[in-house]
Amino acid sequence: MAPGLTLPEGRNGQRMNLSTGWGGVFERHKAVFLGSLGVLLLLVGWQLISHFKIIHPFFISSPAAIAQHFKKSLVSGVWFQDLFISMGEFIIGYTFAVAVGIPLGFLRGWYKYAEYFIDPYVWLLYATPLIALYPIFIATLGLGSPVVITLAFLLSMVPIYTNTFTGVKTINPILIVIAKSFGARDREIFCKIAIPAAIPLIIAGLRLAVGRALLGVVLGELFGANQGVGFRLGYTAAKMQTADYFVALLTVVLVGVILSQALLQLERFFAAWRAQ
Amino acid sequence: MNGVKHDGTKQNTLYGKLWLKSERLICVSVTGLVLCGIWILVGKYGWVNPLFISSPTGVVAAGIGILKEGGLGTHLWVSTQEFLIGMSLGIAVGVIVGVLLGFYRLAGQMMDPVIMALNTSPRTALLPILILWVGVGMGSKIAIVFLGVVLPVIVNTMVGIRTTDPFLVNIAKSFGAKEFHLLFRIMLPSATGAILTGIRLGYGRGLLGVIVGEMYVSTVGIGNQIMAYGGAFRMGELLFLVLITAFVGVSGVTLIRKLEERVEVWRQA
Repeated sequence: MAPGLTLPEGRNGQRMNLSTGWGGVFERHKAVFLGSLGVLLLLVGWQLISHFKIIHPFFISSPAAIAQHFKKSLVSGVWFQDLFISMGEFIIGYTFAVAVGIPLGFLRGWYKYAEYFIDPYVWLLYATPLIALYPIFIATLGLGSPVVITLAFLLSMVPIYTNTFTGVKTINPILIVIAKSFGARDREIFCKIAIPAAIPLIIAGLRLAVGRALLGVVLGELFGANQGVGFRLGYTAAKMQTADYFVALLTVVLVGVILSQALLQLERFFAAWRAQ
Repeated sequence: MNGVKHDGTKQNTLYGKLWLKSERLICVSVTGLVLCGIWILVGKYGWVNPLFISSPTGVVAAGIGILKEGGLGTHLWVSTQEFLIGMSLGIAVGVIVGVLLGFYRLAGQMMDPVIMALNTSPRTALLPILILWVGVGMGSKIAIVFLGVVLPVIVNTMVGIRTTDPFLVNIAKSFGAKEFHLLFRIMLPSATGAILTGIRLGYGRGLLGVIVGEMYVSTVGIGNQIMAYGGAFRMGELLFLVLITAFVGVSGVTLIRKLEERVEVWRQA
């Protein structure tokens, strides 16, 4: 494909080049400006509602109070401690999910019968409210991190698995036919065509799995742990310390947003790379 | 039905036909039997205390016990109510907000980060504060179902409205269609598929929401029962209820997916 025929993804092409000066800057980063404005308005509104006691700050706290409590938990080190534990559990569970989900997905995409053998059970796993099994996990694995890691693993494995096999299934068949007619063996087709072609979709799956793994960590800690961000959510709300609760909540939200945005960038990079 | 095709493959022999018809079923049952076998063996040889994991027969027996005993009806009814009320509220509010944010781009772009942040982070994290806000009764469960449903519906409706074929919009405009007509005659019908996808995603999250909400704090409902059986280490009963919930989840999602396919066919026609 000749360069110049395709515009880089996510940009407006000519319109971007025509507009210059401050208007141009605004036009280019419109989404960012408007988005920040939205967040800012929300925070100001929240502060005002709380300040004038339209809703009592006991229930909704206020951005200023939350910032104050955040600083306090930073200084005392509680925040880092919680985050460290939760992220550790997240990373271990997620890694297991990747290590199991991707090979299982390839298996399912590559062999017809693998679909018949494993697919229904993966869907059953997906539909099961796994948190309901946490008494079993506690009894067999022990309270705390093992339960949380298991939940994160089981919840995040399914999207990785589904996306991997979709990636394998949607390989351009012409590529395979050509490779075969040039005498490629199965192993070569797998390594040189199937894996590279499936990568963008696998990364999309990894992004979806971030949310699920985070859900697993929060749920697991809410029910079956005595430390971590999820535990902090339940603990502070039960003690009606709303400001501290919102510190924990915003931590969860921020971790989710940062991780999925990072993977989104990676996904775009590989999607562009696949298109080449 | 066209009957059996004769293309000279396996399908010509009787056994071949039978195999082709039932191979999926056979494969599924093989895995099922192997899994059940492992489950029984793990309990029998004491690798894991059977008290903790029950057994396939234990689950069946517990299921029969629960059904005979009755009393599951009240719990099921409460959970169903919570789920349906939360779900309908979520769909209604989600579609309206999604349409507004999709139609008025400026407002949409302003709200984008907030909605995306809420959509990617686990809503069950809101459970503790919802109890403080709405109370321990049905309200907090309805709220958690609502939150689970409303976000994917908003996001999908918004995207569906925004990605309406601009060609159609232009034609309608040049024939003098007003905003109102544009919305109801063109944008909403073309977004139906996307809205259904949002509802399907929300269905799963809502179901999880009911169970988790009731498990967290409640006096009645399926989640409450799961919690009670879990606390008493009656794992057979617990697994039976979990399987029922999984079944409701799978059948609901399958139903909505079928509906989506229908709509897709109708849209393209």
